Amino acid sequence: MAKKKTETTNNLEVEQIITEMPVEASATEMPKTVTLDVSTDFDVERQRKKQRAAKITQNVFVYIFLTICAVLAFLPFYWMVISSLKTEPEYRQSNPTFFPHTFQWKNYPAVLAQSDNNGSNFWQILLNTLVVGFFSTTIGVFVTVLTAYALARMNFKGKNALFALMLATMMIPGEMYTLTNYLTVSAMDWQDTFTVMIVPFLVSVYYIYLLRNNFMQIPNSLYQAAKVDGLSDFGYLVKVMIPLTAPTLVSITLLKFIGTWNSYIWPRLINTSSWQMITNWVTRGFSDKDIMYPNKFGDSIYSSESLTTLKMAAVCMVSLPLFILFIFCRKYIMRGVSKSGTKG
Amino acid sequence: MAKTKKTSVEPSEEKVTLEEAAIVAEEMPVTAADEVAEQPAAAEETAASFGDKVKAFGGKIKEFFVGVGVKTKDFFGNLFKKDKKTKEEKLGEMAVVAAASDGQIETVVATSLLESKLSAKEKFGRFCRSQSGWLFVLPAVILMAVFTFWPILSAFINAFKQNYSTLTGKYDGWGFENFIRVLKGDTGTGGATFIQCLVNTMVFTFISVPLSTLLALLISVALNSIKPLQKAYQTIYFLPYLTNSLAMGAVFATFFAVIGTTKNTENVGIVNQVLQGLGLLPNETFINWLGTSSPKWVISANLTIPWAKYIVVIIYEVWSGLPFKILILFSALQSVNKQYYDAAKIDGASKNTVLWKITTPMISPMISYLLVTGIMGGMKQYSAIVGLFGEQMGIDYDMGTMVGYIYRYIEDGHMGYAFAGSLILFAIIMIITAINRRISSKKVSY
Amino acid sequence: MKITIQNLTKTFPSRNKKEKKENKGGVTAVNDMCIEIPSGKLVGLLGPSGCGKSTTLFMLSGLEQPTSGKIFFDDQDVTTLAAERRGIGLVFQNYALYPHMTVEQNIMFPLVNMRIPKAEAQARALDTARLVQIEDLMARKPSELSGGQQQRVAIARALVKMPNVLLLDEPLSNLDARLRLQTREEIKRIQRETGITTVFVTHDQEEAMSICDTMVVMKLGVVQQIGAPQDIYDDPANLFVANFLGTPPINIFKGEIRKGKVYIGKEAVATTEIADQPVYVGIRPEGFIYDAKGALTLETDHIEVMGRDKSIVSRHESSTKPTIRSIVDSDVALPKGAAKLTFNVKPNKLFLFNAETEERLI
Repeated sequence: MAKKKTETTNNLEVEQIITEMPVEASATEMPKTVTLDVSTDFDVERQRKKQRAAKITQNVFVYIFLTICAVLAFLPFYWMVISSLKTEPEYRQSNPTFFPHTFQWKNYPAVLAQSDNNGSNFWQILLNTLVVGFFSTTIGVFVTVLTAYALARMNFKGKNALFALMLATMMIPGEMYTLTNYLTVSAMDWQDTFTVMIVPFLVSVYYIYLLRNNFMQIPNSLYQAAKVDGLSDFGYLVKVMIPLTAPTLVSITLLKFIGTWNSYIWPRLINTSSWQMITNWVTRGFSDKDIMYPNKFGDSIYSSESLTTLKMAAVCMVSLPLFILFIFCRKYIMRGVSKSGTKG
Repeated sequence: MAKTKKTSVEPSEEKVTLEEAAIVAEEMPVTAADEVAEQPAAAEETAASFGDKVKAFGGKIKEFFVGVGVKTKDFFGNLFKKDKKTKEEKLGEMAVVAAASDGQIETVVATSLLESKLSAKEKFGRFCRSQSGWLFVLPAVILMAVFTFWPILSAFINAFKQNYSTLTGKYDGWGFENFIRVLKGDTGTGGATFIQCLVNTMVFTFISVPLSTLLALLISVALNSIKPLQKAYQTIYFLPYLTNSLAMGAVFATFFAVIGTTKNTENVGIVNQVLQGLGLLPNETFINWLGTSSPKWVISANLTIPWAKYIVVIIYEVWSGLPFKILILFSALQSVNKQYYDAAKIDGASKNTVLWKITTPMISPMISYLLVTGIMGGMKQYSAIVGLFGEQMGIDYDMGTMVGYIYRYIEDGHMGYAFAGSLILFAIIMIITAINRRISSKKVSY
Repeated sequence: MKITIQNLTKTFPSRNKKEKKENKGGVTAVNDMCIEIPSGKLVGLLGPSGCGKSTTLFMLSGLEQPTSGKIFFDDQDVTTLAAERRGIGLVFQNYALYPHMTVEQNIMFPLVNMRIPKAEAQARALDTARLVQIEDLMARKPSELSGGQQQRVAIARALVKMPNVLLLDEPLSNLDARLRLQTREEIKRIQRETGITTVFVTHDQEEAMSICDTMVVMKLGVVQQIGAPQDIYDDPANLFVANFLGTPPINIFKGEIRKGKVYIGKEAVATTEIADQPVYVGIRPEGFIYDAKGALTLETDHIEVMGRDKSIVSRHESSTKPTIRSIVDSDVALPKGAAKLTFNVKPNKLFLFNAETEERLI
């Protein structure tokens, strides 16, 4: 028995009494004598204390870290909401308040009442967005299902080439299309119509790809079983394939709608200011027009300047539907996002 | 078509990730060129007559979509209704049976039995039937031809037209002038040059993407190690994903914005307030984060730091990039075999060691996927900048990104510059992809 | 290091949420286990799958916490001590080698975690690698190794930190038959050379019998018998243990004790002093002696000649299994084509079990 103290700096400070085991080496198998020390004793009490301390510290640290990050992640939303409820003077005071002194609910009606020079107001724009959202989502999903079905289940000449070509376009930055599409739709006089907002975005290669892969995972034996049960092909698509891939379809539908809701560049580029979508609406300035702050400060600043509190009210209104959607469809959205990775 | 068959991706792409898809896509340039070349006539048309053609084509598309509901109904009705023995119905059904049975045994047997009895005409008919899949993909193909394939081709053509006017369709010959002017910054309109936009984009991307990936990794690992409240935290972290980048850009801007009034009240932005409170800024000194030319009544934004604006963008980018990265990394962590953690425990590894020596290498494919997609996305960022700095993207586009540059020249009507810019952006993305492929092929995967 | 297990119980909570709340409906994987594992021995936990042997091993390692009961290493209570603080080595069933590290990095990993200087760690890793004879493979990745080599790396990684106790979870189950034979010799050798108290889990009785110093037979979380392999084979505590050990397995007949005689069907095969009662009669295959006037008549199905001995497959209406195997020396001349053969039974190869409790009577 050789007593040896192994001092290590890590949290495993173990006082080890090490037994050196002389090893009988057989000549053929073991050319060299191998010595392995075996520790036969350690201080359990000390280990246990350290273990408890380490566990508590670790948990405390993890929760503090997560909470700080969560607060930081959530802060902008909180700030957005409380700013939208402050009065403009309160918002502008030098010591920012973390909770409104007085709730200025009037900010919301004030924002809704705004209309620009062309007379387009919130309701008009919301209607535009909802109509565009409805049609581009339904037609888009329909086209996606058809294409994905053909690519997954049918054989035709050039299928693989077509699919590869579609995938290849995912590499290309969308701005490259936008340019020519801008020229194309201008040439077709589509400005300020629903068509221009819907048609160019009906095909989304990524969703086709996603759904095709989903279709391919359905075993072929199901198709044969369906045939035996007397189901037609279209019946098979509707009654078997679509229900089986319903989660993916729901995800695609939701993400497509969110995409429409968030579209900003295209309407801004193509349409005149009288025909805009909801996100474009947020970027405009909201001024008071002497309703809430009639010459309060003895000058006319508030009547001409755009007010941040009103803007925050607008931002809240645009964000709210997305949150409602998220609350009800959290599972599908997160699932879809983790699969697709494209925003909207 | 023979060529395309050879490069077919069919057997292997069952579970291709986006990254792989991109790689597959990259391997297809020959095919792509072949296919796009189906419209060579259109490419040679002069712009003016092309305009007319496009108009006519557009009209057709309009028609197509108006009637799409009715047509598809008929189509399916004819194709699949059993009692209505139209020719198409029989054809379609046969084709679909043939197509959908992967084993294809029945079809093959049937074919060989029938082969000898068929006349040439019938053979042709059968060939047409077997191609009914095209009917399914037709809407998508037409739409893509007009709004994807043609634009790509057109970008390559138009970028080389000098002084191209979108109004008249006239241009002064061909050449590299657009590219030279864009790269030299000699566009004659002032504002940020393309190079400056490129540098901006690179700075935003190459700082914010690694930073948010690292933070996402730490958060996911922490999230993975707890049980109570895990779902709640997960939901909170995902929230920023759903926001509209423009709207949230505007909210972030208010954190940093310096606004004020003539009457003593002034708001230097919450960030300045916090820094002041922490004693990180001297008294009465505030940073003009957004670099706005201060409104005349503001006296307090007396410290202008040139890179302060970049910090604002990077903070926003990190914040908005986190949700997706956490979602991906967290699910990657949950799929790591728990046994490795058990083994690491037995081996006495500390939490820190486990994180860097076990966890990170285990999910490294996902990390590199996030870095690549993050960088690709970063190259295309635009709307966040508009949200933060307004449609002028700072002062005279000085915070502009490459995409911002392109849009600016579309709006200006200088299409040539926009086309040239978009081609350069495309080239940059291709280079990044190539680098990524090289790196990932060198990495020995286990 | 001596290991003492006292009243160890592990209950997994029910998956059903309602039952979980009411704290019932769970599965008891290990039930009130008490064993003592002497220092420096190789001990095998043996039992069919689901008998709680792996759970026991994981509780020894500290990866699982027992519901109740205590575990002592020597005389120190380690029950609540976390795995990383117990100073044990564990070889996982699938080895759990870190796929992104080389063999050397894998073996060195525990040492690096102990902050042992690199040079020393490398030397020790090399020593251990020599012990398991993989010193030539140090630069490879686990994916470039065969199953047997991976197994050795896993053992080296467990041994390199000089563990108090070495635990092996089904160490041979992922190897092919030939490697299995070779590796089990290897494990025995390594254990002998290092003298580390070793506990290993297996469902293969042959494997356990061939290398264990002591064997613990378990069934449904309850220890059935503890002892040296040969002792357990020769002297099984109950029907389960008798049935579980031995290839070919023991033959079981429904029998009866009447007036000091053991009857199978209408034939008395042995005498006993036990009171009259219905019993299970177990006869090891090697317990049959062919005798033209033997006590037990079996209907011959066929005979397999296996060189060293002959295996007679036969039937009997009282047998609990479809066929009965008896092994006789190949020298024994058997009448050709006989539909029935008669045997005498060696008394030491015959066991009687209570028909209800299945406990051994004699």
